[in-house]
Amino acid sequence: MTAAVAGFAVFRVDSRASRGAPTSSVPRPPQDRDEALDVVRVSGPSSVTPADTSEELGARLVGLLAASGNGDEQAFATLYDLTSARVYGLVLRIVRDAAQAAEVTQDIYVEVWKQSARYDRSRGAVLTWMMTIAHGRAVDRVRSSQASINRDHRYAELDVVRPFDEVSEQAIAGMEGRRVRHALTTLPVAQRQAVTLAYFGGHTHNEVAELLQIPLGTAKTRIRDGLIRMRLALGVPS
Amino acid sequence: MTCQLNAWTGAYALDALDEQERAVFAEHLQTCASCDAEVRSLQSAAADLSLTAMAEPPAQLRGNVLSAISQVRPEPAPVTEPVKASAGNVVAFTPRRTNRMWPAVAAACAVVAVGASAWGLGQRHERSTTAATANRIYAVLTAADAQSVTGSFGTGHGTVINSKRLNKTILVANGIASPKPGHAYELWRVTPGGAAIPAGTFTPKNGQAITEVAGDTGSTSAISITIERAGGVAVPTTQAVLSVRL
Repeated sequence: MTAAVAGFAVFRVDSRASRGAPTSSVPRPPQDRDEALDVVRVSGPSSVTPADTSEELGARLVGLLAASGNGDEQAFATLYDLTSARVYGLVLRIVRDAAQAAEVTQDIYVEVWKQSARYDRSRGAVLTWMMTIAHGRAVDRVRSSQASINRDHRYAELDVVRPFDEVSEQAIAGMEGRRVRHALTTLPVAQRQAVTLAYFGGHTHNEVAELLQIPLGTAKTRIRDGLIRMRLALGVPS
Repeated sequence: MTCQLNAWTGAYALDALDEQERAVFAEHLQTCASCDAEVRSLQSAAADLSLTAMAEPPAQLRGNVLSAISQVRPEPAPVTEPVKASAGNVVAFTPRRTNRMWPAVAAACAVVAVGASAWGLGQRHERSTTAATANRIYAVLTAADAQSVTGSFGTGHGTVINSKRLNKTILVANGIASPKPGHAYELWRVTPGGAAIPAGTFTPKNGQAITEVAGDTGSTSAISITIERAGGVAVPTTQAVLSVRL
């Protein structure tokens, strides 16, 4: 019997630091170095994206998405402007290739446009809804395109510290990003590894288990416990 | 009281389940308010992770996106979806769980754990046996030696997941049509000699079905599915809609 579904080989795992965000006079909270932390770290002062508190942004996105559902392309263009760095950034992080990331991002926005009238506000924020679609699409891409890559690569790459891609160098490190990075540092390393391998690495929990050499059930538990702890640290309502 | 499947919520929220597990759990979420609420809050936490990965897209992408969307229309909003409930446990669902709701949520979850419609099993099964069935399905899906094969199944596709160690096989189907009234899909275990042994019937819900192939599949060389009259027949009378070699 051949395995047609399980066992995607996804091999890039990195652990690295990013430097040189745009300068401003905003002081930076101290950041602990932690090589296992698979997130963009800021070692210089960073600019804060203007204006929007996340509440304001969230309310605006609801209106724009509703207008999009009625066929308002102008509203959708604004929605794109407000969200594209989030969507593209995540996709790029997962697929690791600028051309593919652009392609996948376009597919995601077409999907968001098509589904815009179906968004149900009672089930979560617009950005959560969009990022869920985005993550699913990016992961699909990375799994289908890397399915043939030798699994052995993955073990070798676990310990490799990769230089950050030039595009991600520009990653915007606003207050919100800093808050999330801080929340990540509150996780035990084991949970953080499991969460980041799954979320940014696009790995299945089977692969997470293999990569970390832990039982499958443990991988599942670490992913869930890590996210629950993140949720707590971020103040997401349960 | 917690749902026995709630260990899956995190992996589901991060798209880290395998395809067949994902199908199983998505089906489960339709009826388990507790897991559903947890998934949504974990998805929200996961979405926040993307704040650490922001990057400006290439400038031309905006124009490409806008020209692509001008070619298609947004799909109409769905007619108000009824709140799904199982076996009479109507759970009024709100995005934020309150303590007051908790017993009802737990009750709904218990029903799911016990199986019945959530698993798309035939109505003939008694509830007491479906608890064991749900556990067996779970065991196969999480078995270390589980292997799967996907084939097209009418308008959709079916994935057969087999564990040699457990001698058990599960079918997960998506996007399949419902058989005409009075009919059902019937599973067959095909022996190496070519004989077809009845292995249960099922009907999809919302185009989905998750069911176990009845009996020990250790000495089975293939699994086939035909459309037969409801309740099942002793020998296949129609062409197979899906046949998968184990």
